[in-house]
Amino acid sequence: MSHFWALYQTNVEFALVGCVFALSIFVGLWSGVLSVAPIAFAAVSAFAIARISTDHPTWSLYVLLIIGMVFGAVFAYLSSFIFLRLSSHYLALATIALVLISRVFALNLTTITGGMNGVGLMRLISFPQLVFILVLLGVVFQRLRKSRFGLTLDALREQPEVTASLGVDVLKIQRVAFVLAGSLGGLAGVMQAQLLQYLTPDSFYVDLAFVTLASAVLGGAYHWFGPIVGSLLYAALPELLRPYLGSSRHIANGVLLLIIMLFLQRGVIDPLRPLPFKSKKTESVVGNE
Amino acid sequence: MSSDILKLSEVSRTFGGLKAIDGMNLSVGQGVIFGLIGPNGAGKTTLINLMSGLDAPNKGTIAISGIDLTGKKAHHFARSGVARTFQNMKLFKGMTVLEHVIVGLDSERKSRFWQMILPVPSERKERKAVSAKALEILEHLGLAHVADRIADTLPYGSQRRLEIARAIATNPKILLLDEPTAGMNAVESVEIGELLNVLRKDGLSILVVEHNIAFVRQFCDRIAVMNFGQKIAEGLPGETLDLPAVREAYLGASGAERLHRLRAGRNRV
Amino acid sequence: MQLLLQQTLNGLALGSAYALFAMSFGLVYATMGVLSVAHGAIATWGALAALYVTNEFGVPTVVSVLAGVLFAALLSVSVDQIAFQPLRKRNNSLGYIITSIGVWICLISVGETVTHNAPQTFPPDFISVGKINISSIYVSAPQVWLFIMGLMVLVVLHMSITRTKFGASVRAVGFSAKFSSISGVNARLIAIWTAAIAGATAGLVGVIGGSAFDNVSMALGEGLLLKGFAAVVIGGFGDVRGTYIGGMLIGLTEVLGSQYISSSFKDAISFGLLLVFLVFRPSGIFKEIKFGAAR
Repeated sequence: MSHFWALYQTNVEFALVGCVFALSIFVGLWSGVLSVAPIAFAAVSAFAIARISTDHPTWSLYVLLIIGMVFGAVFAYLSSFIFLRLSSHYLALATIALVLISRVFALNLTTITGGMNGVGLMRLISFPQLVFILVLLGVVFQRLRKSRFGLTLDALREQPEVTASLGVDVLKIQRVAFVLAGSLGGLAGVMQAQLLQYLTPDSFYVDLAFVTLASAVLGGAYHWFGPIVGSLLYAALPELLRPYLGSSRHIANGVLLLIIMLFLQRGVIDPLRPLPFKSKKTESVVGNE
Repeated sequence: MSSDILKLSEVSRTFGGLKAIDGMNLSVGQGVIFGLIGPNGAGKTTLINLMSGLDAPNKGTIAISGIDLTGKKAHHFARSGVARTFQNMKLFKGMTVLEHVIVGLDSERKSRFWQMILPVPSERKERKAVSAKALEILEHLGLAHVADRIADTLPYGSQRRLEIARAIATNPKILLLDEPTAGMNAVESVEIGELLNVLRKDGLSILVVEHNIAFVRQFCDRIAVMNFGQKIAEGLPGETLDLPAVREAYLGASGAERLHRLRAGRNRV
Repeated sequence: MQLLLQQTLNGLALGSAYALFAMSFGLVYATMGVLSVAHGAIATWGALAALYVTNEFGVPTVVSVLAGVLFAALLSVSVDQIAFQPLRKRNNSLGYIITSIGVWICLISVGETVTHNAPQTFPPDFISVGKINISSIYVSAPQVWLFIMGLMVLVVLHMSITRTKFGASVRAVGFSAKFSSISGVNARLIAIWTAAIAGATAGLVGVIGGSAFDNVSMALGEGLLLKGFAAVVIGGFGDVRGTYIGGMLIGLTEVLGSQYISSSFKDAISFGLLLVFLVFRPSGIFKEIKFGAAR
């Protein structure tokens, strides 16, 4: 067991942070918005925290995490006024553009980010703390799922016109979701920075954005547990196949993504495909039992 | 009249070169069941979209209870008292019947985001209250017994009722129904008509777009007839439906003529 | 002055590479509504195929280039049929991005293994002899070829799209797959041909670009993808002429910006403009009749 841990601790830790990234993308999808903006906000928070924690080495981890979330939330709020008025297609592309630009900023704001050389920071986070944060997020999402917010988001995603005609201010609720996604991005950014202990302009770029998007959708974008499953699967699969595929093992993720998208369009975790012990009444009135 | 719940004045809607709605004037008073009929393509659904704020007119004004809402977004119309159903019934996939009505009750809810994350008693209390109110609405519409069923497992007639239940959950002043009896047989249609009578007694005004002429004759206080984006007739159902202009609209000039000759007793068509 | 001229020529060459890629990317995007993030990898794989053929068989350059182009075309068609065709029946335009990510992952991971994650190079005499030297302004042969190919492909594509029956079919499918099949257009066949042409062009850029920039690696493809995407948005994807100009514009501003402002700023203009256009003028500089897409 300790041998496994020695080999795979890093993988597991990065996988857990990947879950947080995936949740940030999920929140957007939940509100009917495909956005990779949280990755850009993660970059902002990560570099800010790297700077702050170096200047204030006594500040606790939780303070840093909260600051990261605040950065993410604030930047998300401000940019929501630009992005949320775009139609869904251009919105998605614009958030990709945002990630592209964030790297340019990272490259050029050398006093904060160290430019091409990057910046280092001390790791304060422990493995139990990573797990705790993820568990906490799970609790929060489960509460949100059946709350007013969650139900309205489900409705909005399904039928945006109907939801508007029921009196819901769609733009406002999408903004709330956008800010929530941004703060989760900020949180993930700080966590990732802690694990990497060294940030460069390439630390939060389009490749991370695409992989995170893929994990979220693969795992299932219709339930908060989906992105977690997706991220863990995404991290685990190549490692399981390492002895067979060696350095090409990541191809497994591509294949997996294709298979899931072609056959299980809604992802692995789908609340409409009830598990054996779920009690939702789905039998049709026209009985054929 | 300022007592009109809904008032359209010289409303026009153009799509590219096509004039979908042309100089429409319409008023619906309090407690009236108003029917809107016309052949396919006449612009009836476009009109409902304009009246519910999902679309905005190029010309003219739309007022709800005397307040000008022209150009405002759909949720403003909803909060001012307009509710509607849709032609292709748009239910929420995977949600229960009760949950549909709860979504409809959203604008009444007060809980804020942070209250939903933290386990505060006020949020749980509100959830209970909302569920109870939703159940009441379902009872009123005869759907309480299927409250926990997934909506798309219901029979078609019940789904239509659910759509109406969801709409009236917003506590509207006027309900816009887009072909509520589509796909129903005579018995089911009459049930819907009787439901409308009940709602009217509750104080609601109703505007119903329909193809079912018998339904319109039986349940509407007043009707308007549309064709090519214009109102071609308005008045009491009986007399309006007999107007030659109306018959022509549906059957074409030669068809109307043929019908007239048939009715006049000549058997040769 | 001389430096300006030199860098302008470099910019034109780079711009031609971007323009070529953008035109091929735009073709798929405009007609099929498919935003394929794997397209850059297809360009690289074309280059890799050409490299392999050159190194293994020592054939004349033309044959290698053809091999690369053909390989990329076949790859593109396969990708289209495996990852995009099944999605065409579904009404979900954003689903293509996800499956294209799947393909991208596959192509990148195998590509990185094959290239041992290090840039490969073509043999030095791959494309004609070294550099042309006009009063100490250097232009390499591959750069010239990029420019020529850029113009040629522009003309060919524009002519075929606007003047031929095939082009009309492509535009019809781009407007609506459903309605075009009513008038007898086989949407699937058009998709295949479009994918083939787009793949071939991408392969062409990969080979010649890889030779011009002395760099055949997955990064080549990714660079082309991002800048090509920017070019398509800025120049407009409805008309290849706009896309071409978009690509040239980006290449020029990148080289000149790098020279006269700062090298770490070179992407700022391209991506900054990209965001500005997406927010304020998504149809691009040249607001042509939009295709819509075969969603």
